[in-house]
Amino acid sequence: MRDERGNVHIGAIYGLATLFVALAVGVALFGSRVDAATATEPTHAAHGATSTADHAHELTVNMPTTRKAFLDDPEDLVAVAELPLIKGVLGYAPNVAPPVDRDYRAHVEIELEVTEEVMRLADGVEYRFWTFGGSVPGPMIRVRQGDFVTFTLQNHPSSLMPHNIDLHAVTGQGGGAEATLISPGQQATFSFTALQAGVYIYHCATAPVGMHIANGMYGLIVVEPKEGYAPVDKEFYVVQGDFYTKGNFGERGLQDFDMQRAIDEDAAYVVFNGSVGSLVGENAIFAETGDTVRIFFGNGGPNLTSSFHVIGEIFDNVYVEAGGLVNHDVQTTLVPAGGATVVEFKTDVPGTYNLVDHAIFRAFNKGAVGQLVVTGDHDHVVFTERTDIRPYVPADGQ
Amino acid sequence: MSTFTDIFRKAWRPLLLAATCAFTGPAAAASMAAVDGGLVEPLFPIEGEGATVVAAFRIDVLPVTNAEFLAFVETHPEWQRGNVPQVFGGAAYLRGWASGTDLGALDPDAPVTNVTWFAAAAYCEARGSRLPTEAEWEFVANAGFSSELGRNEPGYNERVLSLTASRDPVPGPVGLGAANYYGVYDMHGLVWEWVFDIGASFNTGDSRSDGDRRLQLVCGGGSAGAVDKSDYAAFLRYAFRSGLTGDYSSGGLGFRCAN
Ligand SMILES: [Cu+2]
Repeated sequence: MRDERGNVHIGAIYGLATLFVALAVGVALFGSRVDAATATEPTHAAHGATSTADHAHELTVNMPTTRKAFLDDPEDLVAVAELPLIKGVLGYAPNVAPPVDRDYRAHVEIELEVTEEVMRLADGVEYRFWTFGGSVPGPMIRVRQGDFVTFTLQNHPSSLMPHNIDLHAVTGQGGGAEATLISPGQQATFSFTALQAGVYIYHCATAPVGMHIANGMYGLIVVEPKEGYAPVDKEFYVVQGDFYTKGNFGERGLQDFDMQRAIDEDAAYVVFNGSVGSLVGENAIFAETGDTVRIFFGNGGPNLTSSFHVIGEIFDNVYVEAGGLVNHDVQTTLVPAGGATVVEFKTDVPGTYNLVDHAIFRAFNKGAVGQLVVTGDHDHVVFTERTDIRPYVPADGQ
Repeated sequence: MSTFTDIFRKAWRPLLLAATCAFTGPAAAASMAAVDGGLVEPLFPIEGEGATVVAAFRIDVLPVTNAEFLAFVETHPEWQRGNVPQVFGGAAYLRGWASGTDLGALDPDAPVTNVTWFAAAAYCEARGSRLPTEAEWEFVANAGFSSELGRNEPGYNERVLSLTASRDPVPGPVGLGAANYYGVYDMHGLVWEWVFDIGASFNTGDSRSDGDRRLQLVCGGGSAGAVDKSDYAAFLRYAFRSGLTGDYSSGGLGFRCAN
């Protein structure tokens, strides 16, 4: 799977929206979201005399700013049986799953296969990964708020371990963990409604949970708000994870999981997208000057909080903890283990922009570095490159 | 609790030592080790439920092999692939065999896998024995390589975890690894094994505590209530058993007999 990552140019391209328009739309939508949730009192008559309506009323009173489905939108009351059936398309990092591009609810079917396979962790270093979809991170799942999702998890017969999935986008027992626990050679299905918009981690939750996550079992499910995310030129999918091997960083060969090291939170590797160098050199992600870029960034952990930063860029928008709050003009954003964020920025000048965990020894000594290569025209008002270099002699002549 | 158990085990030590021997059983020439029992702590102790007392028992030194299972189905054709009703055989029963009585490319000395609980139980019964209980199996699995309690051996938990998590999905011949304190082989490095009381990892008869235990294993409750939080191999074993039903079979699951 990771060999197929070459085609990194494919972000989502929606057209030629300028940054100004993108920002304006984003701000406007965000604003209207808040207004809708705070100002609109759902009436019981509109929902029918059902427990759903009562429930919605309570939620509105208690949580006036939530964007939860079933609060006040008539489309949420369409019966599941009447929703169009859609097969979910997955996105393998650094590529995203295609944007939803729908203004109606759907019944989305998702199939995800669990495998255990030896893959590259770093040059000369292999690791026995436990995966969703044969890759680390697992593929991006993308639905629209209010969608009814029927989720099937398949455990490949060659697996040694039972596995399951806890999707943080799910409201219900274990996020689906209990419903999806499957032995090798089994599959299980359950359904849920994506009640709340946001970007959510999913991960395996089979005992010992830490070991399943440490072996690579995590990914992102994007629940787009009903109005969608504002169009951008490029979208990317990056997930950070920490790995605990018997050998130290770079020690060659097939490395076993080191339980004590994991307990001590003494990561040998901290990487983006499952391996050292997954976003570097020929694997870098690309954009052109003037592009608006969105990165869906998750942190699988299992232990470390990420200080996510792009060297030489300032995030125009950060969806704080991937929720409904959008911050602006941010240098570095914290992403907790088992959490995510969405960052947006416009590329103004060409260069190689390093994505890092700014807990910086992780970047330069443990692997947490990626590259966004931006090509295109220079703008010497924004940035000149070097204009002069010469010997420096302090005034006192010393 | 562990301190109490350790004291209890020490008190039993002379008996355990005296009883540790191998002998050739009368049926099917299976080599068994005698174990004089003791206490097995549950992975997740539940209030009001102490350690399980395990009485003296004997257990196969090796997992049952393909060759041994072939001999069984030759004399018990009702357990040949194709003759077994779906409810007892399941979909993957003896997958990989060339025919009902032909191992095909399978290694005769490798442990038999793709067997359901029903088939494993029938095999043991035909031999005049039975499947070990979960407590018996865990009692043997908790033994060290040189002493009666593995966790007292330096690096034991790590060694067993590595054996458990790093094994080949296609198991090789039995008996190649190190024998444990009781002279029993392959408890960790080869295949999962059926136990008599499948579902015991959940099924205590108390639905509330069943739920608690299940949640601990599958919903990220993690090791909050576990006795030995660093015994990851035990978590893997209990988690594996927790998902099983009698008609399940897979290429990584075999068995051995006890009595
Ligand atoms: Cu797992």
